[in-house]
Amino acid sequence: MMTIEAENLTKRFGDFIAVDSISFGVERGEIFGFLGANGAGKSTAMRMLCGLLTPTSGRAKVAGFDVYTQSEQIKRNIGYMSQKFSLYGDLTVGENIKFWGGLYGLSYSEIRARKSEIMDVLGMGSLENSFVNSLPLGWKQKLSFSISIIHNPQIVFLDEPTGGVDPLVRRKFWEMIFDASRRGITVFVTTHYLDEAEYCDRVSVMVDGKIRAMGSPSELKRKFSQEKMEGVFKVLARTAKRKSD
Amino acid sequence: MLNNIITVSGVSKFYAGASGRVPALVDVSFDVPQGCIFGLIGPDGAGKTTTFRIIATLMLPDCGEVTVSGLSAKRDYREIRRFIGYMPGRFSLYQDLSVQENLEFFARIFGVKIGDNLGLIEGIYSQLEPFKNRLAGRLSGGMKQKLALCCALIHCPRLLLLDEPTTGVDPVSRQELWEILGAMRSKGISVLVSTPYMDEAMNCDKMAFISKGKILKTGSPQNIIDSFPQQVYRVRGPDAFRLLKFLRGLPCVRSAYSFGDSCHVCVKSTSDIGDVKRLLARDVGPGIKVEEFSASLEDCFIRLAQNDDN
Amino acid sequence: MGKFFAFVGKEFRQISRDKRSVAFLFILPIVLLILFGFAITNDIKESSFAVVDNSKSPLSHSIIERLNASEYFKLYDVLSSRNEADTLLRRGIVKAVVVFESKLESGALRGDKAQIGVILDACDPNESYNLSNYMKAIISHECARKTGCRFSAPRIDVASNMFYNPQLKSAYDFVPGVMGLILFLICTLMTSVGIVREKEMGNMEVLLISPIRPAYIIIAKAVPYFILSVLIVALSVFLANSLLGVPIRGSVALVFGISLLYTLLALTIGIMVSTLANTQQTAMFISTSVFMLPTVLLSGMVFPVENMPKILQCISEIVPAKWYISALRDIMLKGATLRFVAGNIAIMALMTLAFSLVALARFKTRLE
Repeated sequence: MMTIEAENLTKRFGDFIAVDSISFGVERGEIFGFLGANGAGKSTAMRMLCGLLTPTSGRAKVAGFDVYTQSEQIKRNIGYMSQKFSLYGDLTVGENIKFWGGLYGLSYSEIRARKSEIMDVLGMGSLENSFVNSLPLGWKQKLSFSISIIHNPQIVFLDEPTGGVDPLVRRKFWEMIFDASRRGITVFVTTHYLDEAEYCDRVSVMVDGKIRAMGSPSELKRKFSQEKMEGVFKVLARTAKRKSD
Repeated sequence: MLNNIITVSGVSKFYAGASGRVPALVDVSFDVPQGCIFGLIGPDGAGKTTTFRIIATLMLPDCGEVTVSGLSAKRDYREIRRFIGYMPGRFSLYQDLSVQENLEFFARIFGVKIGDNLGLIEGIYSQLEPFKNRLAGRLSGGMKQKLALCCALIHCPRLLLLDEPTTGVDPVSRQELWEILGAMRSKGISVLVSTPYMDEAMNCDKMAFISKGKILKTGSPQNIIDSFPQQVYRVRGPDAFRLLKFLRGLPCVRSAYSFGDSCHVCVKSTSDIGDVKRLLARDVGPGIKVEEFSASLEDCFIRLAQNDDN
Repeated sequence: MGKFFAFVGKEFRQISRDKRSVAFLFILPIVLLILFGFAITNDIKESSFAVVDNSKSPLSHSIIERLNASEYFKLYDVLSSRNEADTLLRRGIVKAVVVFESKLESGALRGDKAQIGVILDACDPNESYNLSNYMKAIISHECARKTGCRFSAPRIDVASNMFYNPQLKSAYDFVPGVMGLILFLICTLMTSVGIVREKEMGNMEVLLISPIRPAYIIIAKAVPYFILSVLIVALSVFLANSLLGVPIRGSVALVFGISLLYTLLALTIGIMVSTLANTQQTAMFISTSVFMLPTVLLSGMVFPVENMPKILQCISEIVPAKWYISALRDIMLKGATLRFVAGNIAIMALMTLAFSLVALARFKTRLE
């Protein structure tokens, strides 16, 4: 079953075609890596899929809902996390969980259950009452991810979730992503760490608003005769004409 | 000629936090030799920016001593500021001025003309030229960093301090930036650069791992890799995540981490790898490749950070 | 010096790029001046008035009718006594009361004075001023028509009596106040926020490393605002004089001189604030709450200082704008000379010196 389907999805800003007729599908539980250089159109595409931006043309369904007409339902069925999206630093861990849980319409008992679950999984049982600001960055990111899937969304969008995080935490973070995907949550992720692209079931590489390559990391590496995804990415990114956004 | 352009010895720095004084740097010491690229490698919040600000004479350490080209960062800050080029971690140019206007402005306040050191910045400048009338705020991440670097180089500094120039920049632009740094070194400029990307450290002549305000290790990247205490095995198979979980569950496995499409495994004693292979064949199935592999800098960092935690 | 001018040039460029702020800076004084000068005057339309008619003569009747028929006035009631009139005025039910003396027509024939009295609610000086003029004109015209030009208009003397604001403070007094406020806004607020923005955006890190002297950075940031202020002083004085008819009885040079001194003072305060604040928000907060509010409330711009409690009067002594506003008032309205305002000038100069010393002492060559 496809949880994300896009067909000729296009977004223009005036003369500028930020996203140029992209088509792809993401299956349920898949980890889909969405790669591209700065300014390739990743963020615009992601915003359209999250229901934050109306496409200029094309078709897209996310979690079974249409991006043109059902953005409210989409928002209820997705989770979102980015490096910039942060929790409220001046609220405690518990308060953040309560707040976001409430925002997604979880009942009090559900929030309580999810809260103890998150604290267990993250191993931060004693930290429920500490302020988020006082946590190390890695923990913040892990907590932020846990909260982004607190309402058991069908899909979670991760926008460069691991920027600047140390290698150990980065790996632990990805283990959480694997777990989520095992539970059937589709993961749509952008990253600048190309070793992380290898963890994805499939990746797409955007260049100048178009998807230039799509497939499993091993397929792509074979196709472009590269050792690593980094090589694939560089080969493709160097073909970009649009140098700056 | 001095051997070390920067010496940092025993530097500690504390910040006032909600719960008393929070250490940002704890007894940090390292030397940066003249004419090399020195990398300060560590995650966000490790203390990289504080270290840069102290070396750039913008902050005073609570204790310890810093010299730049033999001058005290505390006493001779005016002199030091004259020959360093500094690019802070945050984009520090004027977003509401164009590329050209930013360059001209920085050239003038440094008392030079853009043309004076053209040899130095020509490579970057030619990439910026097509956008010279664009407002700096509307450049892409990579271009912004190139512009900032250009501005930091405009007065031909002897020492270049670059705080996370590649953060938020895509892999292609990142590589281009490192190529520029290599070119600077060949022109005799010493470079101190920080980055959270471990793989970039391979471009440095010397490096220091920093984590939680402490220096974990200093040396050349190769030295650091060579000093990794154990043999690393690379294990590859179809379902990497399941493989990882399986390996972690084995009592003879000391550590297992995913690296791209494979796992890096260290065993408790060298004889254990036979057991691992056997168990993999028995419980996971065929098609699992196990091979000796040289440690990467990330392996080293993970090991050092863990040792430090324990 | 080249570095300094490079910085000033950059400042101008950045300010000119921020078109909204520049427009705001120039529109603000115009709007404030017009607001205080003109617009506060409500349009005189159907203002209700009451009548105390002791004469009950044909002339008084026709005057009342004529007033009521005009678009400006509307008869509220005919009253039996002056006391009632006071109550109505006090409650704000009527804007004006016309009192006809009992011997209106015979008195008028004899040329006696004050046969018709007008009592006005002068809470709003401009409005009541206009009201009384309209009223006088209608009454005089009607008298002349009724009596067949037998006596000329001036002989019907209309005595107007202002309630609540007997001195009729008006636009004249507001102009210096508005100028004091606007200059403060531009110099203190904009300068402090501008300097702090360099800190907040991380530009200061690079600037401190560069060979430009920190003092130059600060002065260079202030220069454009100083020039803007001069333009705004000129604009305000011109508008006040031509549009609002505020006289400049003293010397124009003195008006500008004292404005420049005040601008300098406000700039030093702005610079000092910038050394205290690390975020634009804090800078804005300090500028507005610590400096701007007292300027509005205690400088005599809106409320006369003489009527304040002793303690507030004492505080008002240290409000910089107070000294400027009072000096400007004296020069513009009373034609005061340099000698007369020398005290104010000395105090402002001292304040400038004190604030610059604080700013200098607090200025850091490092980030913390």
